[in-house]
Amino acid sequence: QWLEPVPIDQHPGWPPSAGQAISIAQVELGLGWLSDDADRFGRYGGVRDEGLFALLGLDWLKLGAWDDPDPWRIELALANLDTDSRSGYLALTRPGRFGFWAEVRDNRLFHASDAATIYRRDDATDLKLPDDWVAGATTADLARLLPSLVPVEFEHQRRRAGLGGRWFSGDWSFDAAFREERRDGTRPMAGLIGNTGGNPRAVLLPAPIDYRTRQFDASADYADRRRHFRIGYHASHFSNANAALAWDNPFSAIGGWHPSAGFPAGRGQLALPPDNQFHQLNLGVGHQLGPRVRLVTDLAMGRMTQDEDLLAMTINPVLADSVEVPVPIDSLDGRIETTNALVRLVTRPTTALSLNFSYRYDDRDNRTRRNEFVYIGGDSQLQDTAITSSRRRFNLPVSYRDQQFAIDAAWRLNARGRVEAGYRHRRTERTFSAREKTDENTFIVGFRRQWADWLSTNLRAEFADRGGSTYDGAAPFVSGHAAEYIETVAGGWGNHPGLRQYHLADRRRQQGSVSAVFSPHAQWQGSITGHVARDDYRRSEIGLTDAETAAWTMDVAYTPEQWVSLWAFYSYEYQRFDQAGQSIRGFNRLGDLADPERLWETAQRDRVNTVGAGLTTRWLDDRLELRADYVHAAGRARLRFVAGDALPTAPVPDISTRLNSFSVDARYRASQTMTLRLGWRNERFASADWAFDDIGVDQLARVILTGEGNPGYRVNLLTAAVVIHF
Amino acid sequence: AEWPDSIANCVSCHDGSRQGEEHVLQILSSPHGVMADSRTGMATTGCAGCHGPSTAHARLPESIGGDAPDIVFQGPGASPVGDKNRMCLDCHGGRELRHWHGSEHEFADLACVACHGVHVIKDPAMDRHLQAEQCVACHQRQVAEFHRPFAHPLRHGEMVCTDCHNPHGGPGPGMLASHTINENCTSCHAEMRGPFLWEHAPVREDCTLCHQPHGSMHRDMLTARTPFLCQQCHMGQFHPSAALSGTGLPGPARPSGSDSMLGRDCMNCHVQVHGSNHPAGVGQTR
Repeated sequence: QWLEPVPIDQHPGWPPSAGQAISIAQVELGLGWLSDDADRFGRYGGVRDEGLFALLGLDWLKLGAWDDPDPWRIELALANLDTDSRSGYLALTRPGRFGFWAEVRDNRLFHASDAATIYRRDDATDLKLPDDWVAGATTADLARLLPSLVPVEFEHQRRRAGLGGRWFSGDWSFDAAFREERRDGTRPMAGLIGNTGGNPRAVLLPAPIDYRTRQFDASADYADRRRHFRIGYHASHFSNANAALAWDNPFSAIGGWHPSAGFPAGRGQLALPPDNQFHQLNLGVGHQLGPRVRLVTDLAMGRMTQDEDLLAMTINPVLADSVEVPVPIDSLDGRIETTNALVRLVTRPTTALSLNFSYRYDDRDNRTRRNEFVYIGGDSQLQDTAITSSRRRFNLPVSYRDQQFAIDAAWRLNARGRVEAGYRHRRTERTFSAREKTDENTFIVGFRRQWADWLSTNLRAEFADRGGSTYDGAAPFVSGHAAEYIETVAGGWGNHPGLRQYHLADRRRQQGSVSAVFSPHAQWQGSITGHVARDDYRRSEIGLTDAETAAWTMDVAYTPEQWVSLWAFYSYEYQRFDQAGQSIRGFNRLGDLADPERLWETAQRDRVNTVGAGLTTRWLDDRLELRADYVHAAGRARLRFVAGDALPTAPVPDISTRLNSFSVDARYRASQTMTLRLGWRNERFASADWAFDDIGVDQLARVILTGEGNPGYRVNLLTAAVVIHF
Repeated sequence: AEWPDSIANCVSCHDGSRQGEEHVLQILSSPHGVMADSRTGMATTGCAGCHGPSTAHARLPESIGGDAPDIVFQGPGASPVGDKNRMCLDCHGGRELRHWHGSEHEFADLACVACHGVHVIKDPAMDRHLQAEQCVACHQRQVAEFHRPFAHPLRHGEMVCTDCHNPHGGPGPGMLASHTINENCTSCHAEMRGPFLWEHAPVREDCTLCHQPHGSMHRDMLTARTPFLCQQCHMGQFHPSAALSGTGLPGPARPSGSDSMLGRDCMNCHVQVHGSNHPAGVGQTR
């Protein structure tokens, strides 16, 4: 729905003569009509309700004369004013001296509008059951479940506003900007009551979103032909109007729970995202060390903090009375010191050779204190303070340090070809991790060649091998529990000892890419690109063992005459994940570990085909432009399961999505001051996913779901507008 | 028009009337053409500020058997990329371009004018409505990714590539404008920044360990289907290690089906996957 760029060269005052300023503007007035309600169609653009809406927009550009000794440039753009994705932008610039800008941008994101909840939300953070609620141990026993449902929309609105300025003084420039974003809406969050995997009862809650993020940036930059310098400051402050969400437990007390945890007294509470801040100071220096050598450096030091008051261990007053070991701190006083550095040396020792050396450092030093928390599981049990209690837990403030050294070289064989080679070494260190250190070496070769004026190609291959320190899968488990408890755990591990988490595991990665850009005739242009990557987690018996991605795209454009052009593209994408597991029962941990009949494998194959084509034609001395576009995107995810004899398995249907979008736009320039626009879009979207297909709120015994279905729509969107130029 | 001496000779031929040069004079309405801005080449040396002195060309243009300008930015006779870019970098060496040297685009010999328009009233690469067309001309794969069912809303015009990326290079990976992937993501999703009392370690490390930011087949832009994605890292006793398959789908009666398969699967209970700040949020359930 955006206005087209201002056609300045069709303006009566074009080209400007000396001393002549130009002011051009266009206003769009029109109507749009959507044939059906379609939340997903309008989930970003805001047009989702059947019926009429207005098309309102404005562009204004005022330019000082090019020889004006004191010129101003003013830009104003207002768009989509009658939708939830409205925006406005204003910029006032005195070229070479200073400039100011201000902007507002809204958009609304819809997750689902066909969901339902049993809760009454007089207070969005304190959810109450209806007065006539009848509790039960499972959803089958909740006699008032379906009659109590009320609709709820999971959506939120982002409202962004910002303003800033820029000043120039010789080779210096100074920038400052302030932005604020507010987000309001509702999202689904699981509310769980229970203290083990065996006795959970959950309900999907309508959780409030009432966020505000403020950002401030300021910087001073110096640049001349040989060097640049920058000092900058960035601050981001996130605040949430709601600290917690509490809800009535709709289930009656079950075995394993304290009686007070069940309906009607039982309540649950979870923490909503806490307020947090991020401050960062940035220093950058670049210097031309010689005619062929450039040094670029960047250093950023930041601090993330979070000190929201912690909630009580439980909202249940009976359970709270059992607390002998209180929450050890009132607030987290969480702090992560970040340091990022980049040093890059770029040299062209000869006209044929290019060399880049770089070192990148990324350190996130989590200074948050560790404490022991004797927690109460899911607002459902008395505090267990035994020295061997599994409820004695230590928080794990994970730190992370990543260093990468890279060298890239390119040798120009001649004016049309060059070969490339590169090497990277990456070392990553983590705390409280199954693997303290990983090292990855990557080797790259490439070849570019322009075979003729109409054909160029690019080949690239990469091989990477990742290893590291000893993999100790139990390390996070040991760090997070009391030693006395660990002694009671058979094997002393939490995760399967054969598991290798994919971001830590030994991995051999092979990648290749190829592209060709061709223009065999002035009327024809096109390209073909392909990328294939294969990951072999060569020492992973459990977890992700193999992965593969492939993407092939082709596009072509044909312009037989100035007044007509056609284009088309096709892409095929493929992803494969092979993973293995072993089903372990807590009462026979070590026995199951040795039982090959409890092994299982899952294979996932995702395929996405996307094809598009379009046509643009101009008629009547370019006064009439017709454009037609079509896009079809179809995705399919296939899952296959294999398991030992001890484990029953069954197939699942494929998960699929299908988008078809066809649009026609006509633009007729009726006069120097008026353009007429007509548009029609037909769009269909269908999806199938067994996790949501015909899954009602009462489908699961232990979880009250939202009842939302898979998204799908079929709509026609008609637009008609007049654009006045003046 | 009364042209200043520095451009008068050029405009005598390049006045916008020649085929393919219809927009040449738009530079006078662009920031590059403001004579009052002493930083521009136009203000000091006119067209020569970018195209070089081109004295031979001025005496006898190539169209009548003479020479081309010293620096030609477009067309079959274009100058080498390094020479073209040097003209731009002489003025634009700092600020957003301070990481240009050694960046992926620079190393790939990409010319500034491959994306930017100079003889235009408004540079399409710097216009939120037109920018994507510049990027996808080469990055076709991303076009397909943004058509996937779960994607950031670039297709809807609500985001542009430069909301995350700096095509001139940045201090972090992937030509991001930020220093890290997470710093980039949490600039819009600040509620997930933390630090949290109970961290989910991969979240603290890299959002793309689980998410595909350009688009995914799977909801929440996850790289793979849950609960299987979760099981790639979580394989503890009982339900985390269960062999999940079609046996967890609904049966003929209600209630039926697996808590770990239907609805939001793992997140039917473990909702705080980005971290929990509740004292009892150990299992990311609070």
